[in-house]
Amino acid sequence: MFFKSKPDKILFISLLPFSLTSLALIVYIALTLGWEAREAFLRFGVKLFTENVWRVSEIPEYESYGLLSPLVGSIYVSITSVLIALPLSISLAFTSAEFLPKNLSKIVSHLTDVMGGVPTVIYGLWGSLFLAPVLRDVFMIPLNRYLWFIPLFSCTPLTGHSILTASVVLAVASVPYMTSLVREGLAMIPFKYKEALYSIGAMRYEYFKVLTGMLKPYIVAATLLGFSRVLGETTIVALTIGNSLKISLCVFEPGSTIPSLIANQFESAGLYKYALPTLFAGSLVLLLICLTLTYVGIQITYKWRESML
Amino acid sequence: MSELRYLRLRKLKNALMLTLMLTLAFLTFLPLLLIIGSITLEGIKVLLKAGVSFFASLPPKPTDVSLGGIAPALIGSLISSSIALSIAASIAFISAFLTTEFPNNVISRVVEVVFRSFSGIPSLAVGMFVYSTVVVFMRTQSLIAGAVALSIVGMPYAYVYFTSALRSIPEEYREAAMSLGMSRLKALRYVYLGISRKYLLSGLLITFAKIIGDTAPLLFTIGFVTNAYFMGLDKPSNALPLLIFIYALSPYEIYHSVALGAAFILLVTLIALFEIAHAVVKEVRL
Repeated sequence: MFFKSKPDKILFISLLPFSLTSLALIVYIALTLGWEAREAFLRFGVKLFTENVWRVSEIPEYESYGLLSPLVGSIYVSITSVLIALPLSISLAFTSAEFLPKNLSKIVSHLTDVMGGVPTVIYGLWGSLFLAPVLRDVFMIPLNRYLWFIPLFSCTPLTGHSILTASVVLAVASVPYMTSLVREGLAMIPFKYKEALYSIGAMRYEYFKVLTGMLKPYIVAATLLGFSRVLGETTIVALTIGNSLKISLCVFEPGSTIPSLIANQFESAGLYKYALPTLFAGSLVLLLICLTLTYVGIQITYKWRESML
Repeated sequence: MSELRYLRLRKLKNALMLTLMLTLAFLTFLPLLLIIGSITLEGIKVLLKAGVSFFASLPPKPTDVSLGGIAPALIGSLISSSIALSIAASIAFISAFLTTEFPNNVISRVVEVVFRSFSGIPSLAVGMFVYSTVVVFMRTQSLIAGAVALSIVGMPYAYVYFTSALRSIPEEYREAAMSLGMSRLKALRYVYLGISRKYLLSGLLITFAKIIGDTAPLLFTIGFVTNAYFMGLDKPSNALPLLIFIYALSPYEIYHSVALGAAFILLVTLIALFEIAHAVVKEVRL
């Protein structure tokens, strides 16, 4: 570290404590969650993530917890919702950035941005009160009636609050974010490539194909970032998934994710010796996964941006 | 004639794919409109039924006939978000200033990466962290604990907007300030702030919007008070998104109505914040 002048050095050092709060906070958060979770790790070990039990008891020896179901649920829900959101986001980003007339594209992208700022609790409320009953009546019941032999659709839908509903609402909520990422990437592709494509007579679809090819790393990054965001999402899932600890492949069945389990059990968990540490263990795992995904996603976007310059 | 056939094939493929993409884009766009539409419609119904007292009364009991109001949540949200914004914005601004002024320093790079990854922390984990530090320490859930949780969540957003505001200052201005012999702090005060103030303001507004709408960090930190308006910074309170969340989970019809009314108010506030932020930046001409 060298500075051009002494005032520079003094300024840098005096700004440093504030700037390092971020780093200190991340470490402190991880350590705190780990410390709170220590009893669960010591008592249950690996079984915490390989067993599916939630047995509370006044007597600590009888308590037994395993987070397998919410862990599987988290990954299952996140994968389905990203799978739904990704193609939709790419087509919305392309349509609004390249194919629509300028006025219309402005309106669409502005509205998408605004929707990206709408709190997730509003998506959750909408999903729970409006979408869940509609999805059940027009989508789940017919699918179950005619395609019951496919394991995904094999169970009878009850209230409409299910893994499918949660995935759909999560997908809708992450579309604005992922769309803006893809659009950001598109805007960064130098204009000369776009001109070159049109000058050799590429059609719109071919143009789209070539640009997506160039965008590939960026799309991977957008997927990772979207996945991380969906994985940590609490409110939407807790409001729409129905909160049950059963493990099932069927998407019409209610389920749970780690955040929804925490949101539901945290208040009562304080009554038992090992319940609270178990929840902290779940959140620590979540934190580590989300941080890693975000870090990798952001590094990819940086690398890609440099390659475009 | 195979070339012509090939062209036709290309045209067909092009038309098919374009139709598919447009349909998908429309299908994606539809739910966004539906959400705004249905929340607005149902929200206005609730507001009409409850009247002005929706802003000024306490929430109802499950057996009540009248809808009551959401005053504790409004007050709690406003206070906690304002405190959170001032904490988050000051830390983020100092960090943003550091990383833009000393971009090639190792520490600046670390700070940059950490802040960018920070948004990956699930806000629920932040809530649990604040619970086991602030709440346990104070022995009660409180407005201030909620504000601390919100400030941690808001920090990375403020940082991203502030850095892009400071980095948007043209290099000539920076050089001119330096050649006049200004120190970096003076340059910030007399040159940078003036040039980037609109970007900074819009960043501030968007961070505020992020903070005021977040539920998860408040779940275990701010409490859920429905029988008092305001009891002090160190006492439990309530918040708008939290009220919507908890009432939406409850089985009572009347709570669903209150949640819809509150959601409409929150939605209008946020859209207003975004529109102002957008309008402010659009005026910038450099």
